[in-house]
Amino acid sequence: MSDSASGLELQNLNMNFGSVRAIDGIDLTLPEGKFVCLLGPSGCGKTTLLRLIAGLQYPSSGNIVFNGKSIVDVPSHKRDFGMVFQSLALFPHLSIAQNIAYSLRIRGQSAAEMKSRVDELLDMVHLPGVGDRRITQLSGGQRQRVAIARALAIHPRLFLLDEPLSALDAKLREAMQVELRQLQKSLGITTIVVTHDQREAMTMADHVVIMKDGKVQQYGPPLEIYRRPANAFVADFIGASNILPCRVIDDSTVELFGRKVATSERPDALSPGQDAVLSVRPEDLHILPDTQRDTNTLSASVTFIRDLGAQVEIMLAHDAMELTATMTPKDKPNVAVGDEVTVEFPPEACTVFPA
Amino acid sequence: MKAIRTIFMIAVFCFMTAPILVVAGVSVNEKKRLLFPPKGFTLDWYGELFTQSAWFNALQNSVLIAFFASILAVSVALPVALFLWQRDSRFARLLFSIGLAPFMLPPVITALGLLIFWVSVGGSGHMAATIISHGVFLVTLPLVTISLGLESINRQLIEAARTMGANERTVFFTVVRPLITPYIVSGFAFAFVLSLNEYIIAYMVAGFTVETLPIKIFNSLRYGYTPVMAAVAVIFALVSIVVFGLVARFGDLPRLLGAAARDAK
Amino acid sequence: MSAVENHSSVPERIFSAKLLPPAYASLMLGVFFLIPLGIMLAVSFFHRVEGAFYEPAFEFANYARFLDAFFIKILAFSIGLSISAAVIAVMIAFPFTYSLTRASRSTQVFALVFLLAVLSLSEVIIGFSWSTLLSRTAGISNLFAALGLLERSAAYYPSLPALLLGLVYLSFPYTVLVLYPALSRLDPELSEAAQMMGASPVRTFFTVVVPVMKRTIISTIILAFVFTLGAYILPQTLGKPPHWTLSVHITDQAIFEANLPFAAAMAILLLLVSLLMVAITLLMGKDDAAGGKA
Repeated sequence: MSDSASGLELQNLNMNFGSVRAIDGIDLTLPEGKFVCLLGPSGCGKTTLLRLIAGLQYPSSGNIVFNGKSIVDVPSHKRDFGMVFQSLALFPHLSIAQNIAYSLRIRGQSAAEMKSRVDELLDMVHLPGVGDRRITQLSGGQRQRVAIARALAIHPRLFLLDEPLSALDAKLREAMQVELRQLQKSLGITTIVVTHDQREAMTMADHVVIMKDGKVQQYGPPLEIYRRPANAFVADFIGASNILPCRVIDDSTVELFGRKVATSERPDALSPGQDAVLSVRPEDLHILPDTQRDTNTLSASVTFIRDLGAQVEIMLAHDAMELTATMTPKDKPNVAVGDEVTVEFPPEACTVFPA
Repeated sequence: MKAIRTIFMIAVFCFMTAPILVVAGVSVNEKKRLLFPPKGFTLDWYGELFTQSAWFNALQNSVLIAFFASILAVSVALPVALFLWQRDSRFARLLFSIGLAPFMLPPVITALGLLIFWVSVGGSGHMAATIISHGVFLVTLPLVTISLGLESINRQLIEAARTMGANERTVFFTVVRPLITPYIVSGFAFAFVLSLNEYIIAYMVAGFTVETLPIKIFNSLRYGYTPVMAAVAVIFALVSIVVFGLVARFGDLPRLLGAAARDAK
Repeated sequence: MSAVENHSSVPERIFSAKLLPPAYASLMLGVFFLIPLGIMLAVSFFHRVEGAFYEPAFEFANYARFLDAFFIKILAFSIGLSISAAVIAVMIAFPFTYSLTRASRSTQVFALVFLLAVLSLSEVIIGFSWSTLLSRTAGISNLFAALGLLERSAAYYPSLPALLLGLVYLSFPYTVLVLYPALSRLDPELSEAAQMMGASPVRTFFTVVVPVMKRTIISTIILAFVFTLGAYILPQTLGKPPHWTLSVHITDQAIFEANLPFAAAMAILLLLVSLLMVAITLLMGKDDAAGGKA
């Protein structure tokens, strides 16, 4: 069932809409057989990038190479890719079986061939026997499965999905994320999914492409991106971070609100005396009930406590600077709103980025 | 494919403009003859529209009728649209459908009905009869535009105004009216242009005594050609383009004509 | 869809000043639209009096006269002509409107302004313009002659093709404006999905766009049909007397034959045909499902 191996290479890709640079000089090589998520805030260019790969839009400049051949000038209907659209785009005038068989009919397959492939696909997405029904007779989650089956009908060389789960409610969405990931693994098909939901990306992807303003901010396995964000934007976008202004002192020390704070190694781009930002994850901050230590700490007052049951969030303020710390309920310190506390910054959890 | 599409669209555009271009050409012929390409160049025929009393009279009639009929049409359409918007009753919907009917039916039906009506009540041949007839016939246009405007108002705005203490009257004048004014104006513009161009009702109701420009052209056409007709045709086409251009400039024309609201995608 | 407030719970005077504007509007529409149609219906049963207009009666003579082969032929010709024009107009307008809705917003606005201008153009002006374009001295045949395609220029009107051409021209902008809302709401992802599955743009158009819009297309043809049925000037300027449609004959009977009862009877028949057609489009439902979002 595995398709021919495929690799996708984007070379200095640009896309301008008038004066807006939707895609700004992207160079990227996506490995074969992997599940890749394009992740970023709305307007970052992720959907445009997917549409360029699909051939639904023509780049202003640059090249797209697939399996060693440039496909920029190949129209979308000759690329043999499968795509699931945000609106699903199921044809309302056709039955479910006819929807799934559409690409097979275009390729002139016989009725018998189409029937057996449609049955196979409906089994695959756990919807056996619904082929004769209309689209309107299905629930949202079922339509989702039909759209996936339809896109996979021709054993596409590349499987593209544009915010495929955004219309589903939270619970169904999480279940579908797991299912989609398992389906992709069993088929071994190179898959690119556009999403704005970092949790979704972490669940499904082998590799994540973080985008902002038409540029790739970071590319790599999700955990690596989480642990070693390339810049302050990624640090904040993937799992919230406290981003605090600081000044570089030396290789592993910064000045934070007049106090010295030891950090993990600073990037080469920064020299002593330069303004920078310090990023630290809420779950890495420690709250000490009183002023006990003076290295790598900051005094703060508690402004709000949000107890979510499985997790506790404590919001703090140092002058006008706000901080958030999270912990499990059993680690919750005995503090109340208004208390003066000490916040400890573990050096290995503090990363410094250019401001 | 894109090239074929562009060529097709341009071909249709040429088909739609060809007759108007030819008429624009013949309207500047120096001689009083129907010739294209034009021989010589003169704008005298445009001048005659204003200097020849028969043509100028028709122009005056047309503009007067169009102006008052459009005001009348808006005055009828506005309460109907508001009524339906405020209370979605069976009667309101019926009234709305009646307002739409004149435009859905072949106009000759309304025209004959009005002819018989005015003959019966004795208004036939008066300009007032033409104004009222056009006003009622053209109700459809402001009715449609104003209803679209009302539909686009978020009802929570009204509720917000009510909670801040505005009574129904104040809500109308401070919230609703400012929001639907562009739609009222475009409804008036649509009705005005269509009244200027309307022939059959004006002809049946008072055609022999109150000559409008379309009636004057058609009557002249029977006795032969004069370039003034071509001049009038060109002016009418220009007036329409200017009016609808203004509607497009100050309003969202695609939206007004039923396209989905422009989203930021 | 409830009203702004629940009126039944608020005690109100029965003759509220608020009801004055709708009352005025109802009165205007009632007196100047419904009553004229009512009188026309009554007159269609009246007896014609030579020299005067008519006298009250209740006879079916006017309708019986219509059964005469001459008028049956006129009705059949009018319907056939209007349907032909409507079908041709929609066949051109559908791909045109589809392309238009995919063009840039400024192109759309330009085209809409232009089409509205043509739509509002008096039938008299359209008739005059086409008769000029098809004339011997100022027409398109001049161009053909100049290009050497013709030996000498000729007049192409009055004739049936000229009339049909004029009616297509007349109904084209109307047709585009009727199709425009439905097509501009058509989810572009439907076409893109078809292309991703291997359908060429032409194939996409015929296997997705047209079938999805089937009901819209049929109701547009019907509306365009009713619209061209109302054409009154074009049959007289571009056609010959045998091409005169029901609308022309109604006016002819009313104004020149002074036979109001018969004109009224014909108008009532035209009204019934039109209402029937409009009712069919309403029964067919408003819009096609324009996408998977619904």
